[in-house]
Amino acid sequence: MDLNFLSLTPYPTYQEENDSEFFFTTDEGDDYTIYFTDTEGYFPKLSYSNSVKLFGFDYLGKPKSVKYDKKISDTIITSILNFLSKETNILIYVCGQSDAKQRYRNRLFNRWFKDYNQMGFVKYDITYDGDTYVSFLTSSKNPNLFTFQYEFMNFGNEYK
Amino acid sequence: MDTIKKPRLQLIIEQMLRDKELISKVGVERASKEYGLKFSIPDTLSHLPRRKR
Repeated sequence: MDLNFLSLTPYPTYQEENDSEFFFTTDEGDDYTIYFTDTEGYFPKLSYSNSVKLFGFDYLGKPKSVKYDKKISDTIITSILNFLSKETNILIYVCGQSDAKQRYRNRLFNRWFKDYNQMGFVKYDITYDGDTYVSFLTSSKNPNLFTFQYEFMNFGNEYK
Repeated sequence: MDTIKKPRLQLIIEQMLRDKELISKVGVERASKEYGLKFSIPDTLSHLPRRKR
C-alpha cells in the first residue's frame, strides 16, 4: 500500500523469527513489539474470524528514552494501515488499563484516526463502565462490515 | 447464591484486556507457548523482512 502521501516516517519493521510478532528499534535504542492476536477464541461463531485481529503494541524492557518520538506513532499507524489495506480485515483495539492511562490512549487513537483516515476506513467505538474503551476499524467497503457491527454490538444483549 | 450474569460483550472485552496485560507482562512468545494465545502475521504484512532481535 502506497502511504507516501500521508508523510509518515516509520522505523523499519521486521518480522520476529517466532512468526508471531513484529518489532522495531528506535533511534534511542528502544525495542517495540507489534502483534496481532487471533480472535477465534473471542468470536467462536464468526465464520470470518480469521480476518479479525486484536491489535497491540508495547515496548520491550524499560524504555531508555521518554521523549516524544513521532516515528514511533508513524510506525504503529503504518502497521495498522497496511493491515487494513485488505478490505475484509477488521482490527480491534482495546485500550490497556494497567497504568490507568486508557483515556489518554483512547484520545490518541481517535486523533490518529482523524488525522490519517484518508482511505475510507470506518471506526466504531464502545465505552463501558466509563473508562473501558474498545474500537474496531475496517474498510467501509468490507462486505462483512454490517454483520460484524451487528454481531459485535449485539453481544451486549447476550448474557452468559 | 445468585450468579450475576454479565453481558457477553463485557466478558469478551474483559478477556481481551486480561490477554493484553498478560502479553505486556510476559511477551508474545511466552504468551503463545505457555499460555496458548494465538498470534499471526497478517498477509498484508508478510512482506516485511525477518530479522533476529
